[in-house]
Amino acid sequence: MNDVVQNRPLVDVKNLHMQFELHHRGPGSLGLRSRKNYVHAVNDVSFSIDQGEAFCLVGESGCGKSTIARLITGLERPTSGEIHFDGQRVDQLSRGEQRPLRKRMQMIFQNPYASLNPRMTVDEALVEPLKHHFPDYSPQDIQQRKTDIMRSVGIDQTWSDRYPDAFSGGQRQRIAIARALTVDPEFMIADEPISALDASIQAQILNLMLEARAERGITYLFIAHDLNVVQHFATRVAVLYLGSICEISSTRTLFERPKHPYTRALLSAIPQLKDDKPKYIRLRGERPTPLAPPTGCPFESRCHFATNRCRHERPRPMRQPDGSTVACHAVEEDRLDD
Amino acid sequence: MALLSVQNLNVKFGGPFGAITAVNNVSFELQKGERLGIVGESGAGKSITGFAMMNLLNAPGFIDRGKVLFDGQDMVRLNERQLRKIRGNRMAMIFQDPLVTLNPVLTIGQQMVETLMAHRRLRQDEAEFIAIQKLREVYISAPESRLGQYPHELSGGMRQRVIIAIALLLDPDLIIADEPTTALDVTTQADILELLLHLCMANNVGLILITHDLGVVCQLTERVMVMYAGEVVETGKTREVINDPQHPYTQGLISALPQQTLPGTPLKSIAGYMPSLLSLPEGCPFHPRCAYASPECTRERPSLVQYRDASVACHEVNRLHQETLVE
Ligand SMILES: Nc1ncnc2c1ncn2[C@@H]1O[C@H](COP(=O)(O)OP(=O)(O)OP(=O)(O)O)[C@@H](O)[C@H]1O
Ligand SMILES: Nc1ncnc2c1ncn2[C@@H]1O[C@H](COP(=O)(O)OP(=O)(O)OP(=O)(O)O)[C@@H](O)[C@H]1O
Ligand code: SF4
Ligand SMILES: [Mg+2]
Ligand SMILES: [Mg+2]
Repeated sequence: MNDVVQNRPLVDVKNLHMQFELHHRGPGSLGLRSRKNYVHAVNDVSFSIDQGEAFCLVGESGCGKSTIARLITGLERPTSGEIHFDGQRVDQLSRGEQRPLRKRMQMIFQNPYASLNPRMTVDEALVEPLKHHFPDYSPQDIQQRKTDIMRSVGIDQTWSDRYPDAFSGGQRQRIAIARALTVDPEFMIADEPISALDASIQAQILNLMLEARAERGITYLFIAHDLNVVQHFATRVAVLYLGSICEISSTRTLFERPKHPYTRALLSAIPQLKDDKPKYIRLRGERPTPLAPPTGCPFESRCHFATNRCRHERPRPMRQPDGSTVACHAVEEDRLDD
Repeated sequence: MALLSVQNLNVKFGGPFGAITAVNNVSFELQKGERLGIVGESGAGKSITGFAMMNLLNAPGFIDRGKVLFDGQDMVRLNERQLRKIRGNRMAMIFQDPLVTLNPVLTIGQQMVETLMAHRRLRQDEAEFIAIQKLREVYISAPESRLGQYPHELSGGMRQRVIIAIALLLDPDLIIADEPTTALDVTTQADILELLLHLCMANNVGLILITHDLGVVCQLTERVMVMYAGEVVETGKTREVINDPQHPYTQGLISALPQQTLPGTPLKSIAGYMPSLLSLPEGCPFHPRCAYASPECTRERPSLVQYRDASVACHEVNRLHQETLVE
């Protein structure tokens, strides 16, 4: 399935950092906001995505996945670090300079309820980007393209004149996917695109996305919680924890031989259809907060393998013999049981 | 007496092309402490069924007929004041759309404190204390400082956990959870599922879990109800339905799971899409997509028939059962 992957990075992210400032406000009798607080959402993240890859980001809720996606699309500016798209540095571009990139890069947002304009009918939502990005299309071309896309994601033609609030969560998400597909982008960032869909429609959309990859070499940055979906869709996977990368690996290696203790816990928590309780590795210990990230390993407070070194020294990403990259002292010291 | 008894519920939406029936003749019961799952095609009417149980439908939606007896009182007949006493308090819903629960211009703390003070006689600091406790229960770290944040400043999964915390604020007897863990990673999901399970078992809380994640349904519920195009097509014990689905739609749903296919190869989706509710076919609503459809299926609507613990609405299943009976 790696046939369409070319050894040319389309997206290159270097030492990305993102901090959000928190302001003092709210009911606050118990608020601890006397000094400035920062949410350290992304800490020194580097990775690159080759042309034609389906690169997946997974990790705990709040670990910075959506923030990374928003930084790459230029919706937000990083605190520091660099983002390159097709050889061009894009993290400092003005809105105007971003415009030519919009057609090449599309994003599907996490919340289907927020990703559609409530005052646009389905028809308008699909036609608008077509008109904008393909000014030389005739009205017939636009209609044709719109109809094809609607059919491919299972949007009934009779829905055209309805506004988003007349649709279920999954129906809205399909409209958002159709909208991103209309302009035939080279790179698609999909933040939980199919989480709101039932298994059969998930399958249809995933098939559609895999097909676009096989036929047109479209590159994906895919964020998903459902690891069965990740295993099926991804070529490579990056596992994030509290804004840092724990492990980057080819999909196969990750699922066959997960290394980082967090990755192992993650894989053990996949809900099973079978009755027998899986060997769920329960994560004990306090969840760390990105408001005051630990100085050592970010996973230290919940890790079964933590030592004193883990408490004080931040593990660096290290290349492994099987090609994966892992940031963990225990892996480096080779003291994980297999 | 059942905690909740839904009888022949019909929900319609008025519209320029005539009314559509989004929920068609749905009936089920839930005992105290029982956990029921609702699964089914996107747009099948799961959320609308949830809204109807709370009597929370907005125009152009309305309950056309049927009863929703909660602790013996018909939610359909109660007035707004009586409903407010029940909603959020004895019966809480975790909405699929986070913006139904969360007001974007209020901080998390303001919203939680307001909800608490509207139903209980509490001082501000007592309410804040409970809010912090509930946030900790859903594994929000440093909850004290999160109280002052606005919804858009939280990640998708954190927002979802705040919503769950709000639903739990007043210790309800019945929780209707619409896709409660869809936005969560698997470890957080596992913790939240355990929390819900614990609540149901320890405090005898009833749970209606709406989700499309069959793994989650398996872990959390005892019974499951499968919906298609506004109707219940199969119900039964969760394990039995998932491991041995009877209705062709349920079978298709389960074979579409990525676990059932080799990575990178096309997944087995059910051919075609659910018909628009405006133009439902005659006969069985699933027949245009069904491999077993017979002429009877194109003419006559199958009704739910009970076989031991399960009920299925399918002519083919019916026929198979008759055959085995004859033998
Ligand atoms: N305001 C409305 N006007 C007309 N039809 C509506 C309206 N709101 C919902 N519907 C229709 O009612 C049907 C049931 O919607 P519902 O939200 O219950 O689906 P669901 O089963 O929860 O799906 P999902 O899994 O995608 O959330 C859908 O087909 C939807 O299009
Ligand atoms: N505008 C903002 N202001 C302050 N904090 C923010 C803002 N946006 C995100 N954050 C914080 O950054 C962290 C990472 O958030 P992000 O949305 O990237 O997480 P995520 O990995 O996508 O999680 P999920 O799986 O729950 O969607 C969170 O702690 C969140 O509260
Ligand atoms: S570095 Fe230490 S604390 Fe971090 S994951 Fe590895 S063993 Fe655990
Ligand atoms: Mg997110
Ligand atoms: Mg729904």
